[in-house]
Amino acid sequence: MSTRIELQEKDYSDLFPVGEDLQSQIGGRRRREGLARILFMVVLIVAISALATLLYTIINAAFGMTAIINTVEPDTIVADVGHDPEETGLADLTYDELVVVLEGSVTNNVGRRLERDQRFYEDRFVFENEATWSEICASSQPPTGCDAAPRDKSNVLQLVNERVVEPDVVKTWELIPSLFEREAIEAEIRSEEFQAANPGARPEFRAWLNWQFVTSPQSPNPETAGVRTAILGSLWVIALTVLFAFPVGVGAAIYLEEFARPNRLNQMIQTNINNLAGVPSIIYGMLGLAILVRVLEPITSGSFLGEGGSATENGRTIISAGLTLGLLILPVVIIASQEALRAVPNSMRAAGLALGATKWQTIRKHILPAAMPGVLTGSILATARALGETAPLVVVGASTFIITDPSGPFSKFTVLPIQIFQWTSRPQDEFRNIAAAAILVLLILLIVMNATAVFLRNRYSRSN
Amino acid sequence: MTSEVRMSEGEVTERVRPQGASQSQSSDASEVATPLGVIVTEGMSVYYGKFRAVADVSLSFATNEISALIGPSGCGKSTVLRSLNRMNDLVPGARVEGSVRYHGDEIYHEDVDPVEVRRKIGMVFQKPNPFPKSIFENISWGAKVNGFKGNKSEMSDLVQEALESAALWDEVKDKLNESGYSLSGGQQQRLCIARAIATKPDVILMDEPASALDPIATLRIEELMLDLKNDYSIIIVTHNMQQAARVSDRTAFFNVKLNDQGMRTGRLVEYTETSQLFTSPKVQETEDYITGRFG
Amino acid sequence: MTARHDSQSHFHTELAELERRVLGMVNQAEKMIGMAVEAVTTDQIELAREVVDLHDEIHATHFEVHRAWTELVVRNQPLGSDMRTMTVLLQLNATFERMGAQCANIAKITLANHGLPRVESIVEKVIEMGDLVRPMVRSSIDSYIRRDLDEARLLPAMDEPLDRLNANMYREVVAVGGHREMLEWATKMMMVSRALERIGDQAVDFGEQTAFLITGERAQFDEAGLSEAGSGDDG
Repeated sequence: MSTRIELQEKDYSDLFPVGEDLQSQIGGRRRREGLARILFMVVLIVAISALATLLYTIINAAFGMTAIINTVEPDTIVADVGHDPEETGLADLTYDELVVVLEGSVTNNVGRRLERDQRFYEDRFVFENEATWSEICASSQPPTGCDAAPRDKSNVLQLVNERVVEPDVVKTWELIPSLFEREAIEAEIRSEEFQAANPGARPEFRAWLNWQFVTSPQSPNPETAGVRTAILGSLWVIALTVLFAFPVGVGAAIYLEEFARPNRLNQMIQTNINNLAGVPSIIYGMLGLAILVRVLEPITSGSFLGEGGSATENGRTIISAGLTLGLLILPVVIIASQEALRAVPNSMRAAGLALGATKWQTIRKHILPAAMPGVLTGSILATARALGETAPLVVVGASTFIITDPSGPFSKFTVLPIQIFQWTSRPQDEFRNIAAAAILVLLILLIVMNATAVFLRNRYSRSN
Repeated sequence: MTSEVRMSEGEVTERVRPQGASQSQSSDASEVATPLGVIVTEGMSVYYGKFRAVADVSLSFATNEISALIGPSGCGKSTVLRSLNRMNDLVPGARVEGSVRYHGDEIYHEDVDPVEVRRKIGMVFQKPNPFPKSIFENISWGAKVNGFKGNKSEMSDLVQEALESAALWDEVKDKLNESGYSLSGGQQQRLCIARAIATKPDVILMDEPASALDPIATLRIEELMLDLKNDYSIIIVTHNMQQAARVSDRTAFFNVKLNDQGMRTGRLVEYTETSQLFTSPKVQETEDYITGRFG
Repeated sequence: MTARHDSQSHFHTELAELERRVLGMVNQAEKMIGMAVEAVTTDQIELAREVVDLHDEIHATHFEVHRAWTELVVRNQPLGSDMRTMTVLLQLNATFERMGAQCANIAKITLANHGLPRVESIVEKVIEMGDLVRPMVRSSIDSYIRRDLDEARLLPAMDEPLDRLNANMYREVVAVGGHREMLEWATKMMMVSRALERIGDQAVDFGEQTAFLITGERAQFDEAGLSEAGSGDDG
């Protein structure tokens, strides 16, 4: 009666393992899984070890025992001025007292040079005189001191340290030996042999990375050099980088993802952006040099605004650096933002449009906020990379030696990575120590930046 | 005079003719009902590039009624629905031929702004898609972008009214500032309905509105539809025939056919009163589909 | 692993099974009519008792079909012609149970009338009614099985002579006169006539159900055999 046909198909069940076979097959699979897990753990350990070794090396070099000779002891200076060295330190002296100390210690030539770089007082001169001053300031190449603000106390303290106290580190030890063999090291320093070669040397545990280091400007002397100019330079440059790359990048991504039609032209643009993300950073440096520094020199040097001075007339300013790095990370920001926008489900767009909203209304209120965590992550990763870029800025023209803090986008500049690079290429041992300290500063800056990123991202996700 | 049993079991089965569609005579199968429908399509075909997804649809949807579109997958019912409020414009390469009139005005006319169309013809989707914002904002935003001119308290009233109409007010009145995502699936869908209502549309299109929901939530949505039809005209696409039978006043059956180029084009097969379509459809194709006797 | 190739879904197979059972009842009823008429007209008590037993069987089947019908509806929510079939089968289930009940009545009258004097003209009329009603039931079954609308529409015409015979039975009974036992017998035979006329009506009902199944429209078969207002022609 029924029209069903029952077919008996081939029975494959005996082609599968059963019983003991099954056990050993499962066992084999479990073992392979175990091996894979071990392998991945090993890889992880190797990576962590590499990082740990790096940190160890850096920290080792940034702290340690030193044998130090002060040409003139700070206590002596304090006493000379008339204070009790037990109660007062060099840093406690007043500005005027410090200037007096300086006056009495350096030669006139050196003093005039210092004053021309940066004056000590608004209203009077210490080494120069009125007549000569007006003359040199009116010349075709006036020195920086004509326009710059007068020095402040930390500046002068630094000078006193540099030129009067003139500490000289004659030997350095790494951190680990310094911790575990301290007595031996001290003994060595106090030994007759050592004292004969280096009279007056004292043992001193020195943290090369200290507050002094962070707040002092550059100096040819490794003992007194600091990274302040470099930090400020980096911060200024990065600020301009972000100010340029973020709005432009996110805007471009919005256009490409939401508005551009999929025609040949837009495909080409997209391909080009993807390729630009992989271009070596030094090429961007050359681009920056050619266009920003040279062609757009009136703008980048600030002369069209009446800003800047003789020294910046060639466009090697913070704004050039900022825009160069901005161009460098722009493709990455665009791509990351596009990915973030693409990840927003289409149902949200449909929902907005179905209510009678325009595309832009929907994007502004819903799509973009939803994509923000991804956009921020991508942008901040890109910015962190920019923070560490060296080559392009060398080409664009970071100053090799600059002691004045940047005062605006049209100032000359240097950045942390370049500073580190310069110090590592110097022969003296001590430069290695301060390079290590500077590297630590850079790392801390990066961590702070990334922490800010995570914080911002969380705030955005939560408020949604 | 005993009679012998003339039928054996085998005979009974073989002699029974295959069930057929009703053979009574009346007007042709794809009748267009009242010409005064709120949305009327005439010879509408929808293309995606060269591919004709649905061909020559002529339908008139009545005001304050629920009309259902049913049919197998690929028959074009969702395509037709999306064409009624120009949501198909979002698909690159989509093209509509023929006429689609809303209250007599052609909505695909070049002077017509789709944004305006969508304000009057709203849409609710298969998977609830509230915005990741507060419940209040979900509803107020639609009104705002459409230029709501009232003050804050008037907006609150609008939101409350929308939520009440969607049978959701009691459940959320104490947590209007919580995220729309904090609601259950059924509640989210009702939120989406409230959101659509807040812009005071004329027609609400629903694309399988309950297919992602559990049976109880589904029932509530169906009850809601029956309440809403007093104020709105509703057109729903559903793959659940029993749902169409439960809620709709008229049902349109679409089917897909393989043409000579091997392309599958959907077309309208029958459109009539729901109880008629599900009890005595006029077209054999419809009968085959609703009784499960196909392919 | 076995693969099954069905030409029908499970539901349609079960629906066919249900139909078969209902039609089985019908065949049973048709058989019973023959037996009952013979029993009452030839005064065979054993045959009458058999009919009563058969009616009990129909009763049980009736309940069973009802249960199966409910299950099929609940689980499948049928639509279209399946829905109409289910509606018709439910009615038929009741109809044939009723037919069986009428036959049982006739059988019980046979037992009650046993030994009573008979009137041959009445017996002849009853035989004649039996000969009219059995083809009607047969016809209603056939028109259902073959989905033959025309045959179904003939049923009211076939019912006419049956109704006439039943109407005239009263006169025959009255003509018996005062013989008490004969009158008793004759009155009971009038109930037999009524039962047969009822069976005829039920066959016409069956025809209406069949027409609904085929056309999807509900129409009353009136005496003239027409079914609907309007054209009445098929497609």
